[in-house]
Amino acid sequence: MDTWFSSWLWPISVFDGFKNPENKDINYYYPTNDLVTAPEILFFWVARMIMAGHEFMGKKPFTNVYLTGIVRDKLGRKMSKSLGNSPDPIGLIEKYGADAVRVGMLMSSPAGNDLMFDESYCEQGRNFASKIWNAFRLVKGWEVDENLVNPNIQAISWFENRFNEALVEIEANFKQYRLSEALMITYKLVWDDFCAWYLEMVKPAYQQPIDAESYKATISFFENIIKLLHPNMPFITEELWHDDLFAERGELDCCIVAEFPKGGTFDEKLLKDAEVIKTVVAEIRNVRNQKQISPKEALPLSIKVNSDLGYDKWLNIIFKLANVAEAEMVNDKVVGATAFMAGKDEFFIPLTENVDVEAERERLNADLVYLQGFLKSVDAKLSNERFVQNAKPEIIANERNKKADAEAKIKIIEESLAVLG
Amino acid sequence: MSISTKYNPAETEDKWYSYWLSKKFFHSEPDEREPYTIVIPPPNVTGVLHMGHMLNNTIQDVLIRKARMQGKNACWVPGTDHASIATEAKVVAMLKEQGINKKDLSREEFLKYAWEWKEKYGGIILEQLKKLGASCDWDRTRFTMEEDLSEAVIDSFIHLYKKGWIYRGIRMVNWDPAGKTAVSDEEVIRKEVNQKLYYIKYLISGTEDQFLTIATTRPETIMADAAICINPNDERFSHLKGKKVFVPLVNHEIPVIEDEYVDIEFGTGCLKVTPAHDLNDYELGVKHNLPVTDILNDDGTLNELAVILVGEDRFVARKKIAKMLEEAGHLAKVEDYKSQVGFSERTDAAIEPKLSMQWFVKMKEMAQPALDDVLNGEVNLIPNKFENTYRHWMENVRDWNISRQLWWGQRIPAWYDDKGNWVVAKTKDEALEEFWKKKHLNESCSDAEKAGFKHQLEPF
Repeated sequence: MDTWFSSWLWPISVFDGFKNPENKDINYYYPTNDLVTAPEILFFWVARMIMAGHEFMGKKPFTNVYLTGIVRDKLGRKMSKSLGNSPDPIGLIEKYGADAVRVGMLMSSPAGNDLMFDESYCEQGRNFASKIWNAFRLVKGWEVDENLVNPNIQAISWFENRFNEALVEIEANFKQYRLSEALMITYKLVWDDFCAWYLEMVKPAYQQPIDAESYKATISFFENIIKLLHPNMPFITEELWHDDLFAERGELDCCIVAEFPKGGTFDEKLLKDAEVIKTVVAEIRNVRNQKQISPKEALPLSIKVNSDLGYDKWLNIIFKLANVAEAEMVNDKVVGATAFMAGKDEFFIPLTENVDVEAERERLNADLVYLQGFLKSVDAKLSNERFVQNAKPEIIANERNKKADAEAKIKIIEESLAVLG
Repeated sequence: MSISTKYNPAETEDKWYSYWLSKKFFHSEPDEREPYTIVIPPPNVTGVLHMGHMLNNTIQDVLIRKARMQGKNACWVPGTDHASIATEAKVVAMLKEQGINKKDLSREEFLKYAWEWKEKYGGIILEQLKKLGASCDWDRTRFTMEEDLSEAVIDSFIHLYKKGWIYRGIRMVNWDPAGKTAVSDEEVIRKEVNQKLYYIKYLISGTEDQFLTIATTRPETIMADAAICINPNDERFSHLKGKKVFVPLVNHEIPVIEDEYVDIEFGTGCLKVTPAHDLNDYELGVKHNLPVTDILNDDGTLNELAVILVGEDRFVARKKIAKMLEEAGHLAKVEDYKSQVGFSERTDAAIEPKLSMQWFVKMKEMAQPALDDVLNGEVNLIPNKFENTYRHWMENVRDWNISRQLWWGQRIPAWYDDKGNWVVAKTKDEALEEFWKKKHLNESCSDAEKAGFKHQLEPF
């Protein structure tokens, strides 16, 4: 008989639904939840299972059918033995580790699309595992001083909100079976927000201890991150879970059965402000690079605040991450200083001895040319009647915002150029 | 506790996988929690893991682990498929390497080899899934050919048969002469092939030197010709109406029939009708009540009914008969010709249309609720771009040919006596009962006769 005449019964027969109808397994597990399979057998198998479900159980066999893409090589060819373009999966696991291969496969396969597999994805997965491992080692190396006051209230508050925001996005993607997208959000949360920003914000100076509150908060974040990562990377997370950094674990206290993090609320303004602060830090680092100023040289900073962002709470973070010595709130532009914008606010680094007026003018002019070109392209779109008539209102609003934003920036640059003389 | 400077997956993975197993974290039993269940698409029992499996099973493991961590009673049921044609092909190839021909084995002998093969290679793929971290409930591992699941197949067959949804019929099937089994339309790959079109002259009966000419790509099947067909509207051939012609080389006399089915523009306008070896010809034959002569063996060689070239492979026979026709003065010309030929997905052999007794499942009634489920969102296809394809299939569904002439797999529970009478029953004893009921046996039989009869019964 045709093999499919046995496999069309699979969701029923695995629970002995024929031999022993109404047994406790079939009553409990059937209908099943999700089926994950290839589109080539949608008719051969999936459709026939649904038929068998109705005919023999009077009920569908599952609720969701997730159809994966086909794994192809990087040239887009289907993998086959005869082409010899199919890597040995066990070989990959031995070379990169199972977690890395899982991450590599998932990251490159957006829902329903074919996966163009390349070994470099596994490498990326392995690098991610190393990143997590190294971050863990960093935290593990910290000494705690119970007498210290927590200087990181804002950083802790920010990451807590950021984590909750990411979790909402992750759950929304899971709901739509967008596992690749969910993993990408997790990846960025861990790599960028946690490792590159949060840990840098709170980490104590070289060979200095950390305060108890920050330490506790960081460990708690780390534990949540490990839980969040576990479905994707089960092995490294289980290994770290049992480290005594967290706690003495009982024999059944394992990551595999730990409670998945539950989303909380998050403060959108706080998160938006944090993005501005990140821009400020990045811009100052940029200025250092361009002007070849050592990271060890603390810089002064003047801020002309045009927004409602309360900088007081963030200054410590800016000081630490950008090595700023002091910040002054000003009402007017600072003459003869390097200027940049973040959000609506203007920033000035008065660099009397270092400023090369010519170079500064050149830089500002280059920015100006770029912004004018950008503005022209936005104007062209907005003066295109067909676009304005057919595009969704939110897209048009977005274009108008871009226009206003570019105009404001151009105005500020022109003013700065005037100040340079 | 100190921590090494580098993460070492090799040390970590086996350690934690064994730990999870020993603490039964993957195992599920019904309880008061909400269940979250996935059944694995069972891979071929003797297969090995490929990249498609890796992706598919990583996704399932992510879903099952997340559900488990979210407090659901997560159950991922693993198992393997006996994959009848794929596994049988592998076993045949393995035997061939050992110099054993499947043809020379009995069913029981072959199955012994097949089970040995399964024991040796079966389950490798499940061990490989463990390396990936798959958190399947291994205590629930099933195999589609184990006793309980085979019984489910038989029970479902009998259920559908009793309902009138399984029937037997002679059909033109896609025959794979290398695999020696029928394959479904979906398992046939059509390719454009360079062929030759042979123009063959048939002597008109009652004349010494008048011929009609037909064009065919398959000269080796002329011995199975049942008629020549012309279009009644084709004035070129009005003189042929009611005539008979002789098949070259074998001199069978066959009639000239008329049917508007013949394309006046194609070839010569005369069509040879070979009901046993072409689907359209078969239908034409049924319409005109023509005899059916099948001149091919199951392996694609010519049988005794061919009279000539008996035992030759169909492709060898094609070349030889072209030469014989030429020597006999019956070959008018040969042209190059491109046409679509079907090949078996599994063995790459050219598919042979073949008439065969097959078992079919009626699909129309069952397709409806399965289509409704998807259209009304009871079952979600993700991404939903597949809904249209699904709908198209289900609205144009054809009856399902479930017969396979394979030994590795479940047998159709139909029992035959030596006179060709048959019944459908689960066991031999029940079959005997059925034969009683159908009066193929009568009450005057002695017990010895009954026992002898029972002994003869064979399932399909």
